[in-house]
Amino acid sequence: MKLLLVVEDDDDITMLLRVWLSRDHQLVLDGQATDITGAVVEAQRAPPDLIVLDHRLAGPVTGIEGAAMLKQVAPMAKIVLFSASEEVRGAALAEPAIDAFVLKTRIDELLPTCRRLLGLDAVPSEI
Amino acid sequence: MPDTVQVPEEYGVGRLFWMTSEAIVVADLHSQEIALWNPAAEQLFGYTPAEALGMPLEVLVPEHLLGDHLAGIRRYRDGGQPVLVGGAAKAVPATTKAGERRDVSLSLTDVSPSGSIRRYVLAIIRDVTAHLRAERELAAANDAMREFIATASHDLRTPLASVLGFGKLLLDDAATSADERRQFAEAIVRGAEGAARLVDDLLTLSQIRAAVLTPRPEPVALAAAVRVACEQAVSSAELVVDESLVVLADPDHLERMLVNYLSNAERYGAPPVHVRAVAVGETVEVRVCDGGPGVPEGFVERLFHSFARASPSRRDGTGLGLSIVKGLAAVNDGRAFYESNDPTGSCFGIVLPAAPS
Repeated sequence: MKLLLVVEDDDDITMLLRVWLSRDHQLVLDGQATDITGAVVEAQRAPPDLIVLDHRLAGPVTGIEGAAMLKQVAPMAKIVLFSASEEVRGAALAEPAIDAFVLKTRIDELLPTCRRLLGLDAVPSEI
Repeated sequence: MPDTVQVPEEYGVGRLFWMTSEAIVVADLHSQEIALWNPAAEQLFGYTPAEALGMPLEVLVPEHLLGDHLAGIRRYRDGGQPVLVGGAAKAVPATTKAGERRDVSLSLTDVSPSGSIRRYVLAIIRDVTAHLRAERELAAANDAMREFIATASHDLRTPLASVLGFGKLLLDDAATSADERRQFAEAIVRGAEGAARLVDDLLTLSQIRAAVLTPRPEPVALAAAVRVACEQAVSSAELVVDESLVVLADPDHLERMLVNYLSNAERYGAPPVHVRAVAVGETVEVRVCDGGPGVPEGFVERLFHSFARASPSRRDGTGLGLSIVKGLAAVNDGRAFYESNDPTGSCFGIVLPAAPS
């Protein structure tokens, strides 16, 4: 079992991620936050294996800016920046704390990316 | 050489020097004085030939570049490698007699007489201030357009991601109950409506910016227009609008402006919502006020900008509503404004021409 933290401030996208990621029974959504401050608290409460992180969040800190703070409190966690801004892909991948970038409109790529980062099987256990 | 060509000749090289629109200046690098100065140089810098001849060259150089200028002259005069002399023209700042800054294209050629120990440099100078300003404005407009497109595409992708994701979940029969299927379908509708609203607003804004949105002004009874807008946009509002007030505006534009203001009061403000209107000279001022938290002081300046949001988490609007109001007010010969409400909240207003009685 791998623990997931979702950091996203759009209610519909949060619901989508909860349902989409729960299709892989090896992944357990264990925490949610809408901003970096809340995400740090969640990551301290239950250190996640993987963090799905939006870029434009509630609060003054963006996902790219906050990734290093999350990595500090959860050093083993892999971080996927899940953003609607293709324009931030370069900046995201240049940030050492971020392990992968997935565009929100390419949600098909999210599960394979998460599994690859977590070292799980190439095919999800149940879809 | 230079000191022999100070008077125009009727024909030949001297005439060309005198008639050209390019400023031509020759400087003696030893004395660092100007040895030759044509009428175009006078027009560009403001010094007459009588003032310019013998004048130190550095007078034309802005203070912050003086050190580099003098070091360059010393280096070249003493046999060092040229930086500008003999090279391509370069844009540099210069100072006029009136103390104005000009951007000039500077092309330098060594015209020292052979065998002379003195060094002379001929400068061909063209005023490129307007050209560079236009280039800077174009670059700023391009940057703003890039930023606008990036934000618009981001804001379109967010609801589209919801439509795509929940659509795929439904196709995969991933919903575990009828309730969940309904939740997915509702999320798809919300996403599609959000995307459609954004596309509509982008279209309106592009028409405003391209100046192709032509208003059809007519006398509009303001109180009735406010009532119609309130029915569309707010659950309750107190109206203080005299029935006699009539504005001259495109009725569709007026409705859109009022609905945008009222929707914002409903979404981001708090009750009580008031709509007040007063006649001021030949205009009518309409204010939509709420008792919410108001607009953060640091955000007021950007309120009417496209995609401006006081809080990035508030995505329930398109972020274009206020810029559309500003644009519509302008095309109807009016203006949009913001004031803080007393004791708390916001007042968004429009000033429109009053219809002639």
